[in-house]
Amino acid sequence: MRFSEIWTTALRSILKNKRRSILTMLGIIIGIAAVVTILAIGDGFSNWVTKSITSNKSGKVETQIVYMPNDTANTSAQPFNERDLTLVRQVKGIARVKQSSSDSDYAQLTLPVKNKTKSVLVHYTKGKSSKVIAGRRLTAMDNEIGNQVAVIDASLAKSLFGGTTNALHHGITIDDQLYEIVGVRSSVASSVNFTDAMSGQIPTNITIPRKVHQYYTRSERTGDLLTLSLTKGAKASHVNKQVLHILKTQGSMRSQGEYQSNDPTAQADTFGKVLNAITYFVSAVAGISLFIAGIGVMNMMYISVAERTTEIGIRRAMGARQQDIRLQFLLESATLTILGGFIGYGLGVLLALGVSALPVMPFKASFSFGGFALAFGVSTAVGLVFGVMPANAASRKDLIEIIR
Amino acid sequence: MLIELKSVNKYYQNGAQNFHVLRDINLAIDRGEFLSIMGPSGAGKTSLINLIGFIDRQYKGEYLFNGDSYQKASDNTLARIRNRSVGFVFQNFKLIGNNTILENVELPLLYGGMTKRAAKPVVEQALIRVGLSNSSQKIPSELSGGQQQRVAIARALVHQPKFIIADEPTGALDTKTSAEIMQIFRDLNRNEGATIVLVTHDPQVSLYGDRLIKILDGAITADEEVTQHALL
Repeated sequence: MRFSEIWTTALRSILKNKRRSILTMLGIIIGIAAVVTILAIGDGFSNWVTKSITSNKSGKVETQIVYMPNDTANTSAQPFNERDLTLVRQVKGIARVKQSSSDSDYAQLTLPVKNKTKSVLVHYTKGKSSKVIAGRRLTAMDNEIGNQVAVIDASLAKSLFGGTTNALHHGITIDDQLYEIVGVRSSVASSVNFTDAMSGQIPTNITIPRKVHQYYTRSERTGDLLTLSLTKGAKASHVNKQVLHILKTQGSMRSQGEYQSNDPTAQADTFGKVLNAITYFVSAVAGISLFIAGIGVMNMMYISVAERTTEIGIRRAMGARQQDIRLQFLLESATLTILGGFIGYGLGVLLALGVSALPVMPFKASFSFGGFALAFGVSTAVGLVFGVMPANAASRKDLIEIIR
Repeated sequence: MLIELKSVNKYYQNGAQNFHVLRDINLAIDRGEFLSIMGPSGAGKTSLINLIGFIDRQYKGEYLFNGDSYQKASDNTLARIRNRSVGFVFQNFKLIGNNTILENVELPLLYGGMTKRAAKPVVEQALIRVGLSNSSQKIPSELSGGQQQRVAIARALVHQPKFIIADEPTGALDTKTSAEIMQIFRDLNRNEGATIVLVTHDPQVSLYGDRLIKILDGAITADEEVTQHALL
């Protein structure tokens, strides 16, 4: 008999016993749905991680190594010399090394205000400061010629000097240096977030010329930052570890300071580990569910074979070979589990969409062909593996015994 | 000769007891014959036709079909020979209850490699021959016993087998229906030259055939022409 005809027979026999078939499929449905859900969420997560740590257009992951000199260090020495760079370039997984400075435009400082300390956000600007409500703005000229001047915000002016105009031409001490207040800007909300400040020009409590600050604090850290572009597939944490090890043992400035790494993927790695653990757990539960479902399928197939002994006999008498009978029952069991697999896949997709719609989730679930293929493959395999024994039993039935 | 049995013996092991089911059977059946095998229950009728119908090959002696022995043939070969050469009609119809009449009757054709599409007109034709047109989409339980047996006959002849084996085809039917069913067999034999081997324990039924074999305790006791045919 042709394959398609046998399949039609199998499908009908499943539909004939709808309730029994659905109950048998339940385990498959649950198992597949669980796997599909966790896979979709896992894929969505890794997409999100890749996207968020490769904000540069090349799509490559970047990580950073920074050199922090000790207090006693000779700051005029170069943090990284040519030999250091060559050593770092030789580490596997690094595509490109870029040297730059780590100086930040912003800093969070504490300031004594009326016997208390207050945390303030300072902006070291090279150009203009934002609009003022009294006095004048800072200009690029202030930076160039090194005017020791500052612009503060209204609330700070009020708490230090009792009013905005009172503050003008008073001094303010920042990093042990006195700056003349030349302007007062509008009040800045008290809860200024440091990380928000990193993302762009945000209002700060104090603005001073950058060069002046650098001159006094001698924090001219030129070239103390290495940005490493990783090759595809290289793991940032692993590369960082290797680079740090090389620099700590062979770096030119190792005796006068410390090397630190800044791994943008570290946080994602932690989350990824948790997600991995969940994935393993769900997979184990799904595996057990699929195994029990498989036994259920086997049981149902044995019952089906027993119920249809006469049918088997009739088919054999009409010319069915043993392999025809075996194929018929095997297809029946596989069709049952594949059907369960499809339902489970659909359920898993819905579940994953539901989970990613939750407000706490920072990313969307992602569906790949791989997930579908896995659901299809696993459900087919369960059907075939657990259907073989009943199908063989059906094909080996003695024709003389059943034709009576 | 279509079928030739030469000193066939069959033993049947049941626990410690050894039954001698068929004793030295010698039988030849030619094409176009309508043979009735009659005997009481347990005489060995079913064993004999199982052997002839390639269902059982555990026997001693020789069974030649068209001059060939299939005693040592593989299961696949036997399945093929059953599919091409034998049509079975059973006492309790043995239709697949979940399937429609069409699906029941097309089975021998499908196992012979035909597609469903190609089989359909052939099946319809066979159903017309047994007087059951327009019922191919029904399921067996919607039909009466006599109609179900007609379906079984259609199934037995749809693939044009070399011979038809009918094992007590009227055993589950009333007298009137029995007569109708037997009439179909006789028409098949007379009009189309079908070879029919009929098993019965009803003397009345055996009168439809041309030749009557009586079997008792596994041995053939009589082999005679039927002279007094049943009334048409």
